[in-house]
Amino acid sequence: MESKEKILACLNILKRLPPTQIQKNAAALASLIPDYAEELYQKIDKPLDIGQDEKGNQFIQSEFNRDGDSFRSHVTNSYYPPIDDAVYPSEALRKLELKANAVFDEYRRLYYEGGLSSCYFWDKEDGGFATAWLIRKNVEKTKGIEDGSWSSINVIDIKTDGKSKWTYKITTSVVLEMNIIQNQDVGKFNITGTLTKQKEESFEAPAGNKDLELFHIMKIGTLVEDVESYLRAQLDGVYFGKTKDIVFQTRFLEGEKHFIQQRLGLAGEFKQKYG
Amino acid sequence: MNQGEGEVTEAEQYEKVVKYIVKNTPFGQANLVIKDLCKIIGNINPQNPVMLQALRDHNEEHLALIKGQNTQILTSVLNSQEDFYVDQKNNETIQVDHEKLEIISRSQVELPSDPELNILRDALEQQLNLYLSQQFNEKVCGAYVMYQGDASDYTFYLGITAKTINLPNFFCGSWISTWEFTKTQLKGDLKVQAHYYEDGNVQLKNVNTFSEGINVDLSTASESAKQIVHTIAKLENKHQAGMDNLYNSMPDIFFKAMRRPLPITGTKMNWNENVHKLVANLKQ
Repeated sequence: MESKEKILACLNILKRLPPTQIQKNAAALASLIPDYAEELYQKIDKPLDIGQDEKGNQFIQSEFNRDGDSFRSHVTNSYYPPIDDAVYPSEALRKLELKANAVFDEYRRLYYEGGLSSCYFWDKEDGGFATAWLIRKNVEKTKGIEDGSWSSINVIDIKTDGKSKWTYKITTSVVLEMNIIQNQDVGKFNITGTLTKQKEESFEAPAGNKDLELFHIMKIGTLVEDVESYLRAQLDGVYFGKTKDIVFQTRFLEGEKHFIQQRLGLAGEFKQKYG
Repeated sequence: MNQGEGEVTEAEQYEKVVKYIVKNTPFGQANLVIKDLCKIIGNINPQNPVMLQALRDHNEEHLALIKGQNTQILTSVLNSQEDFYVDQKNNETIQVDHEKLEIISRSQVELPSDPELNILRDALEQQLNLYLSQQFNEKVCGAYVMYQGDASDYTFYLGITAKTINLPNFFCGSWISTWEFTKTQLKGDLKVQAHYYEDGNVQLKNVNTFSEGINVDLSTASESAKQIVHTIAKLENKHQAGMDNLYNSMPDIFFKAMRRPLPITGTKMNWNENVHKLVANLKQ
C-alpha cells in the first residue's frame, strides 16, 4: 500500500508540472523513491523518441518496444543497440505487425502529412494480445513557431471470449508542445499539453474467422482514428483556448474588464442553476 | 546512488529535488505539492526547513500577496531579509506565514528615506492602484514601489501582479511584472503563466522583457508618475494584444500543421479499402 500512495503522490505532482518535461520531472521524483522508479516510469506518458537502424530507417522508441536500454524496430524486428535474450512478438503476431504498420502508415500520411508512425504488438498471458500504435510529428521553424511536437500513444488491449466476440479496449494519450523563442509582441511563448481518453468496443468476428488479421487492423484503426480526432478537437478547441481565458480573466485589455467579469458572472450563475 | 565525496545527508538528497519541483509549480498549488512531497519522502512535514525555504523562494519569485488586518505586502527578492520583509513606505519590518499567506507581526524600524523620492513613490503607488483597479482581477492583485538612493542618483523598483486561483475548477494563472527605472530608462520583465488540469494538463509559460527611454522630473512627481505607469500599461497592453493574436492564429499555425482534423479528401480514412489494397501490396 505504501508504494501505491507514494506513486499516486508522484502522479499528482506530475500533473501540476509542464507535460513535456515529464521525463525530467519523473526522474527527479523517482530519485526519492528508487525502489518504485520503474513502476512510476510505466505510468507516465512522455513525448516519443525516434531511433534509427543501421540503414538509417527510423522507428519510434517507447516503453512498448523497449527491453532494458534497447529498442526494437518495427521495420527490422531487431533491437538497437543489439541485445541477447530479448522479448519478441510470436511469428504470427509479427506478421500482423507488418501488415498493421503498412496500413497505419497510410493513416499517418492522410492525417499528418509527415511525421513517423510505428506499430508494436506483444503477446499476453491471457491468450489475447496488445498493441501500441504510435505517431511522432515535429514542426520546425514555420509560421513563427520555433519548434512544435506531437506524440500520439494509442495502446489497445485485445481479448476474445473464446467464441466469436472480440473486445478492443483503447487508451490514447496525446502529448503536445508549441514553442516560440522570440516573437516581437509576446517574447518567449511556450505552451504544452497532454490529454488521455479511453474507449472500449466489441465486435463479432467475420464468419469462419475469414481475414481475421485484416479485421483486427480495421477495428483497431477505426478506434485510433476516432479517439485521436476527438483528442485533437479537445486540445485545439478547449484546452489550449482555456489557457487564454485564464490569462484574460487575470488581466483585462483596456475597457474589457467589466464586460468579461459580467460574462463570467453569468456563466457562473448558469452553472450553479443548471449544473 | 550519490557518488559525491564524503557523506550526503538525507536532507541534502531531497533538498535539490524539492527546490526544483516547487520552483516549477504554478502559483496557487505549492501547498498541495509540498504535502505530496512529504508523502513521498516520508517522516517529514511541511514545516520542515527545506520545505519552508522552497515555499518562501516560490512566493518571492511569484510576488505572493500577504494580507494583514488593514495592510498587505508583496513578497519579493527585493524586500526579503533573513526572516522578515521590509516595508519601506511604512518603515516596518514584517514577518509572514508563507503557507497561510498572512502577516504574523510588524515592527517599526528606521529606514533611510529621501523626501522628494517619497513624494514620487506615493504618486506612483496611487497610479498603480488605479491601473490595478482598471485592468486587473481584484480578487488577488497588488503592486509595490520601492527605491534606492537619493534625489541625485536613484533607482525605483515596481512590481505588479494579479493571480487567478480556482482549484475546484482545476485552473490557475498569474501575471507578474517587475520594473525598474532611473531618470532616463525604464526596464521591465513580465511572466505570464496559466495552468488547466481538468482531466488533462495544459500549461502556458510566457516571458517578455521591455526597455524604454523616459524622462523623470522629480519636481512634477504627479505628472511623472502618470507617465511612467502609462508607459507600463501601454507595454503590457501591447503584449496582451499580441497574445490575443497568437491564440487566434493557433488553430492555423500550429494545430493544422500538426494533424489535420480530416484528410484532405474531406472524409475519414476508408479502412476496408486501404487494408485490402496495402496488405496485397505487401505480399509482392
